[in-house]
Amino acid sequence: MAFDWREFLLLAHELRHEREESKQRTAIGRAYYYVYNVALTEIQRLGYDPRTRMGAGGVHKNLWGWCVQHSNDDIVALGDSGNTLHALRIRADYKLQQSPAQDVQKQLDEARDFELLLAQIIKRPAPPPFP
Amino acid sequence: MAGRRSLTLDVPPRSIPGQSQHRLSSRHAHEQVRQLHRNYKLLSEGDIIAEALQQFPTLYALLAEAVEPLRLTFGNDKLRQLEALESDEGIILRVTVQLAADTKSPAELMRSFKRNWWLKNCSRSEASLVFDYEMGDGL
Repeated sequence: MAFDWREFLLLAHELRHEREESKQRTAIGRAYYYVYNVALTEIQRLGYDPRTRMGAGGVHKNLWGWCVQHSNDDIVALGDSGNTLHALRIRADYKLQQSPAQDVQKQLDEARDFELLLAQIIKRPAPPPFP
Repeated sequence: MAGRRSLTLDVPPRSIPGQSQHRLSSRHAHEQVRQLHRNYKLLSEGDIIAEALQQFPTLYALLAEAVEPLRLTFGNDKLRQLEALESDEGIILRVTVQLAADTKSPAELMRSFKRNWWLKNCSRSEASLVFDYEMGDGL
């Protein structure tokens, strides 16, 4: 059976109160990779072709760049949300200066908003709330 | 992309972008960084912000235009910070508004800013600029 990317989000949720910075940073990253992977699948069904380069950058910027260029306002908002999550993930993985504690809950809230908006766009039932 | 139709939403992308049409000179980009410093506290080296502005020439105008809607939404006195985030994906510029710890509904304020201004303009960003907030002393 295929891996359910939402397991990443649930893991991030489990880690949200951990005191160790490594776990806080991991939570931020896992929440982002849930969003990225689930969006990659669903957005291709809306016409996104990962082989079409949208500009400079890699696969992540390419996906969010396609979304923010879209004529549908909800898909634009989805792209901006994904890109906001992406930026916090880069910060958590590469920036030493800032403590990530404040960012964990914000990342989880943004990921939850993202999955609700995605469900609305693709006309599927909303995923269940966090346990 | 040309000729493709979305499967469930019959709305094509606004445009089919390529890479930015031209790259700014380094001198010009550094001058833009100096201008941005009037309205943003720079959390990254000027060189890396200049590199992003060279690579994505639309970002300077977006950052300059964003100042007024940020002021209107969050208040004139709030600190606006600009940092460059580098990864194997390239550079993303991130603006954060510093809000007081007791600010009510900060996420709703950011949603309002995005709804009223940013989402109407973010198609020009090449996914290389994001706006967020941080809770702190707010000044």
